[in-house]
Amino acid sequence: MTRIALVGAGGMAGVYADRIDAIDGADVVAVASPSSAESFVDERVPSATAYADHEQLCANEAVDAVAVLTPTHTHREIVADVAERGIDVICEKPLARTLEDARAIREAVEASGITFMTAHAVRFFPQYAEAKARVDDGAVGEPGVARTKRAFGYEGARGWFDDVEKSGGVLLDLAIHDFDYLRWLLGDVEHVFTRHTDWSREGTSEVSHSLVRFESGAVGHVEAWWIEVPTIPFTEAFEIAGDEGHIEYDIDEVAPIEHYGMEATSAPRDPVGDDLPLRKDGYYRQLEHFLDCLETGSEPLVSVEEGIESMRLSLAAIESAERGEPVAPAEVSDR
Amino acid sequence: MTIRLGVLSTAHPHCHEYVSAVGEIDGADVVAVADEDDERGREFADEHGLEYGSTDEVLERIDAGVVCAANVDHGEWVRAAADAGVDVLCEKPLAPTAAEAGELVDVCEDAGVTLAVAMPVRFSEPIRQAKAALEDGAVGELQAIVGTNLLQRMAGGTWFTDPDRSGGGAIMDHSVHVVDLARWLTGQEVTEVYTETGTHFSDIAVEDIDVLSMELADGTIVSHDGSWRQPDSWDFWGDVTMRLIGTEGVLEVDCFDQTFTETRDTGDDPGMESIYWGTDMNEYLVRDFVDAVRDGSEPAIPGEDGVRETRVVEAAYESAETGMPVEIEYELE
Repeated sequence: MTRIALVGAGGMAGVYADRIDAIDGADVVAVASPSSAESFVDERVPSATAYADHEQLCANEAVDAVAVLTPTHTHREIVADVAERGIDVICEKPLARTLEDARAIREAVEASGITFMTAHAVRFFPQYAEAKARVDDGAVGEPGVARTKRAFGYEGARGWFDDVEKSGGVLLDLAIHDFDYLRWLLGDVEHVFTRHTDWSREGTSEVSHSLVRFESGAVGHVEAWWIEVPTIPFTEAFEIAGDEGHIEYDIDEVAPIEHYGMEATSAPRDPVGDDLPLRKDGYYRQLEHFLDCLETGSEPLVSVEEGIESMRLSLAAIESAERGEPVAPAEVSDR
Repeated sequence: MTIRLGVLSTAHPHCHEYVSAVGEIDGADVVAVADEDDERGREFADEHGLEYGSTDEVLERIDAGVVCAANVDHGEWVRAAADAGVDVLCEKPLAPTAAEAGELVDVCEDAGVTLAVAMPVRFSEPIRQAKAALEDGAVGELQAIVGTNLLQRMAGGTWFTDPDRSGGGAIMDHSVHVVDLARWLTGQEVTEVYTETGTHFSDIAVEDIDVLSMELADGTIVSHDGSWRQPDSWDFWGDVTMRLIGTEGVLEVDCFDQTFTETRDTGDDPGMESIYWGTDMNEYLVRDFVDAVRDGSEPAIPGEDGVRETRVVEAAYESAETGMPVEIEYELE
């Protein structure tokens, strides 16, 4: 039995708790959060013990691995502390708020020799994984243009997500999913050109598009936005156009089950929800992979280095939007 | 009075669609065709039951002409028509350079003839409804536009892929529709363009990747993909889509998303095809032009719009050259 601790008791903690509950051979034994560990444990994992912070948790529990599911700007300190105790870590994306923090995480991971994974779950979403496998297999020939979209509407303030100092905003928090996927799919990036606009009522609405030039010559178009319009469902889409073929996916076109009752409902589509008609969704597959790495000692698909490289694209995009020029990920300054 | 229309060059395949469109319009007939390629022109005349003649003969017989020449030849046809006092609907882009496009506007103005640019997508019903909704506040304040105008891959061996005849590839051919729509929907000019381009999908002498990032005068951000990149086996010729993102909502427009699916096992082109059954935008483009010719009114898309859009295309090429965003400055009018 792999004993897992969740650090953080927000939305992602629920996602992890549900999947771990469904996986044989792994249990959530403890949850740490300064604000809501007890209520989370009561509601979601009554068999686990609640702690106020990760240090108390690690001092009192023998755990095999920690899932770091806290606001982005807190990853550095938590990962460093956990790694120092020799405990393996899966850390939510983005790896960190700044490159400096990300490098500190890398140093802590290397010094301790723990198994570490950056949780870029999109690589484990079956539609994204299958498309990558087919492209690798030559299904589209050489990719020339790849477009992605990730967007949703929301209602009211969203806490730390609205604070760019903590979350990095839409380019670091949301677009990074597709930056990471496209890097995995198409390789290294020469430069990124981004436009970004934002406004705020209660939360911060942000819209961005990024043009990405890959070293292969391929061109990416990454559309990412979150806006305070509550009726907009979560949407994701990709299109990979090659010289011999074409792949496209749009969640708007996917509706394996629809229900029309007396009240308005919509088909399940939110990947962090637990109602997708999939036996193993992306978060499940990601945790399975991480657990498998712990057992076999193999390197996770998304290492700390991979997490840093994907962060570089987001930070290059942010810098590009500010400077009004294309920015190479290698030039990104510490921020 | 019936407006007599002529087709001036059949180099651009849209000429077939314009002739069909005129067939739906009372008070207008296509009567003649002239072409720089006699054989092609005669074939076209036979197919549509039109008279074929020399440029002078045809211009003598018609009230207005539809120029469907290769981009670099637009100027010659427009000038000839203007000289003959014939009104002109010119295939887009108006000219390969903004300077020439501007000259054509002046020539037509001096000659007192109407010059309209063939931007049929403005007459797409989904776009027209979206414009009304936008003006009605459906998205609050518009902040961003994401557009596409994709096309299947372009085979080589036609004027489209000959830079000396087209003036350029996908950027030249497939940027102006979305640029035109963005300008029309917002009333704002494009003030900055950044380009990613390349030749990837076909073995041709012009670019087939056309991915642009633009900013409008009011700060609205616009991206556009007009690449010639869909496979030959694609179920449709391409698309025109626009996502309009505002402070209080989003409008998604897919101009050709009124289709049914036809799948065949036999014939020249077996497989799955999407068959469009929505409103024919070309018909309403031509109606607008015919009204302008008859009434002497301003057409919906006058030559000046063609000049503005050509400036954006020029800036897009400049950005591709320099790797940096290019600003467009507009003189005060």
